[in-house]
Amino acid sequence: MIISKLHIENYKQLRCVTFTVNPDINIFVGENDSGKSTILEAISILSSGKLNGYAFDKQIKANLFNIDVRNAYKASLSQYPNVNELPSMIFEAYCETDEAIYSGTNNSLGENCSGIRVAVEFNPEYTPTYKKLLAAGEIFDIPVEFYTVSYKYFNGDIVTYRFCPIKAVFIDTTKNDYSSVVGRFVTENIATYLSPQEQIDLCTAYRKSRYDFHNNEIVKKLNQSVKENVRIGNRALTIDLKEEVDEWKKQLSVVVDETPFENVGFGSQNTIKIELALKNSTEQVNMVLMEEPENNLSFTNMAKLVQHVQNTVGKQVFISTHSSFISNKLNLGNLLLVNNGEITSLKDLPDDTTRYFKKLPGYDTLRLVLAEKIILVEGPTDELIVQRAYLDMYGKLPAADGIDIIVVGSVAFKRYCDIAILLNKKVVIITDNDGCIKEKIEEKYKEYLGKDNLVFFYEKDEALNTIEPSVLAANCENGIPSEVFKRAISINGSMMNKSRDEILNFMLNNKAEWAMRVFDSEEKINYPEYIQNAIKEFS
Amino acid sequence: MPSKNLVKLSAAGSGKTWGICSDALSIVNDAANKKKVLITTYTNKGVEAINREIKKQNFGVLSERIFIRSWYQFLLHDLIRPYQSFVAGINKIKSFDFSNMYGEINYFAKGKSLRYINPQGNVLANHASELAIYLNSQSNGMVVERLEKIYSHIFIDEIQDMAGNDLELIELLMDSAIIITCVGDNKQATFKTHNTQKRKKYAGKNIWFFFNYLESKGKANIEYNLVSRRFNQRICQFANAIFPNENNISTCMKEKTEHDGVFLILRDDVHIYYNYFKPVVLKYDKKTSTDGYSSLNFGQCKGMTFERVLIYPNKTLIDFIFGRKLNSQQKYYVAVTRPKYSIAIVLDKFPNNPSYQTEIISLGGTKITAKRFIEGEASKGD
Repeated sequence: MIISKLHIENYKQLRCVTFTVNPDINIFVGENDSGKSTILEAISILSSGKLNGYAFDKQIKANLFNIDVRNAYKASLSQYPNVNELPSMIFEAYCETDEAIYSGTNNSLGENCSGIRVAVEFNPEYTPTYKKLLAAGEIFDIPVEFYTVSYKYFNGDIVTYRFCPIKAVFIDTTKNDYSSVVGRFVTENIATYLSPQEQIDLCTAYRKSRYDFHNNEIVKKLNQSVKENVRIGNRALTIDLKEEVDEWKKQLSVVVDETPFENVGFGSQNTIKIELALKNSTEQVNMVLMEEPENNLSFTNMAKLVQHVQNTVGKQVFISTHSSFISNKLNLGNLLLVNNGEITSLKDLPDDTTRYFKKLPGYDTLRLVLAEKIILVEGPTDELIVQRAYLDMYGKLPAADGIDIIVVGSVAFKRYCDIAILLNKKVVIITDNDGCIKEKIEEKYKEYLGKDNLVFFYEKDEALNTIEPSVLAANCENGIPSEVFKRAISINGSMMNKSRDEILNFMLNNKAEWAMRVFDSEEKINYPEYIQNAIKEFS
Repeated sequence: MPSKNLVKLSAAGSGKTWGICSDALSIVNDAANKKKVLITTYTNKGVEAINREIKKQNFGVLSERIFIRSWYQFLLHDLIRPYQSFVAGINKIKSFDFSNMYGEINYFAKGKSLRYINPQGNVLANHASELAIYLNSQSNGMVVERLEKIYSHIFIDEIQDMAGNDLELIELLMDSAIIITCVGDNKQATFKTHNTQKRKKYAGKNIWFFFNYLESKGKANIEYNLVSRRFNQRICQFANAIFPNENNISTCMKEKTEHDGVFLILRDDVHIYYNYFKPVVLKYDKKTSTDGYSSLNFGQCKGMTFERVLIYPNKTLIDFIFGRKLNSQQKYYVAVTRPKYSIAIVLDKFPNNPSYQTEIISLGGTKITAKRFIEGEASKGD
């Protein structure tokens, strides 16, 4: 069973969202607290009945409810008797499967399909008590003690997770609980990771060793002496190994290259867990949830991880990440942007753009996806000048206003524009005219120039083909560079006696250097009009 | 025109359950069939009997692809719950309300939630099949469509117990892609599923009209198997005497014991008879005294097989033995078709009825006087 759509109501940041997911790989990206972990939690609740590894129904707290809904309810308490309806948390996974057995219309969207619905709702049996407490003014928050959690398929049947067609593994690399992880990992997960036949074989081997233990001469002797010397109420005592069905699982430990699992590094532990989860046959595990898999991983290991995920067949994977590398490599089309509890899919990016970013994993696409306001520039020189121009104009750096300046190089502009269009995000683009506005701007960006959210800024004077002549021109009076500008780009007065052409030459040959000097200078230079306008665009 | 659906009408003890189970198993053992098989029967006792029979034929275990459900479980689980949102909302329905099975007139209009579901969220059992049909039409056929995706075959046992909207629903299923096999005994209809005016003419023994209708419309073929394998010729003869109609049954069971047939014994001899043969004691209903022997009601013993039974008759059955005509024969018919070898009926005095002949029965060292049912013996022989 594969999830095709999720619907979540009133859980943490998720007020009421419905979004489709990919059958194979899904990457949730977003700022901290945007709700991407919350989505993974919701999927975990739906697919295993567990939150953070423990039964969800045992962890219902008022603060799991969406804060707005909770506050609205709390505020309404003072309006008694006009109190808001008690909020419910709803989690629904709409699935694709051949098994019609789990199908029905018991879901919020009224769709006739297979799926699972987890509802955290007020139990009407407590209505009289609740009313009494309300009247007495003794309800101060959502009374979760009167709530019940129901796990049901869309056909109305109760979900028994042992037999659920979704078998999910949650790999949370953010938790640093070594000892307990190992114990739980072995006892709980071995069962999930091994095929039934392998389990039976292990169990048989364990039994055999138990039998050997029992028949060991030393044990026999010990038992004989116990039998003779210790008697409780005329009953014989013997020593034996436990014979619970799952006892063998508790006796096992994972050893990595002769180092016990609990002693290997945290990063390796995660790699092992992830590999095990991904490698298994689909009957064992058909869904993998990964929370920030990049944690504790070296670049090489991350590359390996990406390789594993890419090669996985027949499993639905949900990943939350901050890593541009992971999201680029695993296809931007699989990206789901989470922002304030809203989800946007990048599925609709043009294919060549997706392919482009896949080839260039170093590109900080996530910055574009995540930033509030963006200025795209061609190179580090432009970046430094824009930064400093902003500082001079507003007395603070652009980052302080949530403006991210991204250096993309002129070739990649279009690709970033595609993403910006999809996200409907305002992007300011500062580019060189390269000496021909018609060819280098108007024709090159013709599909993008009319868009509301994309604003292009460039030097109008074609003679000033890049930022160097442009900045220099802005600081010349009658063709002579100003003293202020000379001081700004000098070290120990090095530029003070240079001619205009010599200065231009220096700038063109030391692009980052002159910009750095301007950036660090105590002087305030003049900026070309197009840069000033670009900066004003966000004020 | 041959139809994919079949109505099999069989004599008591002709191996209906065995047949259903072996058919179901061979269907799921066919690798080409990926779908599931459902067997539904009216009573929980019937479900148990089918469970037992499947295990017997399937290495001691049930099959993961054969679902066995009582008729009401089937209605709730497979038809009503998945699409309850069309009348009740999401996951509102809990279970059944069996309190108004008979009589009550429902004043709520069709389509009103309260016509089908009580305020506690339980489906009124006597309106369950009506609700299923209603949900199917409200959802544009989603209910039946879902069943078609899940099941290749549905077997409905004890078809004679169905009435009213149940029959309507069965007809709806027969019109689907699912292959429907109904199995039943028209003589055995002991009670109706629920009280409803609709299709009343089909209820009870007149379910024949329903079968004839299905056959005439080409919706199902009808097959008869009026040969029992359970009981001997004498018991078969007595069953036909209890419930004479155009479908008299015969038997191919030839096994002999020291005590075969139908007997009348006096109350004073019950103790010794009981201790010697250890029969299962049956009574019409709880109002009949059984002298302290633990017993089953006639209605409870449907689908069961015993070696010997001892019947404590009610007034109606006594009157029949004394020569009067028997009406509403079904329950009596169920009771007398349970044993393989013998029936003994407890009386305070013997009737003067040529159908019964005096005979001495030897119980170990003791002898008692009894009367033996002999009708039809001369013509057919033992």
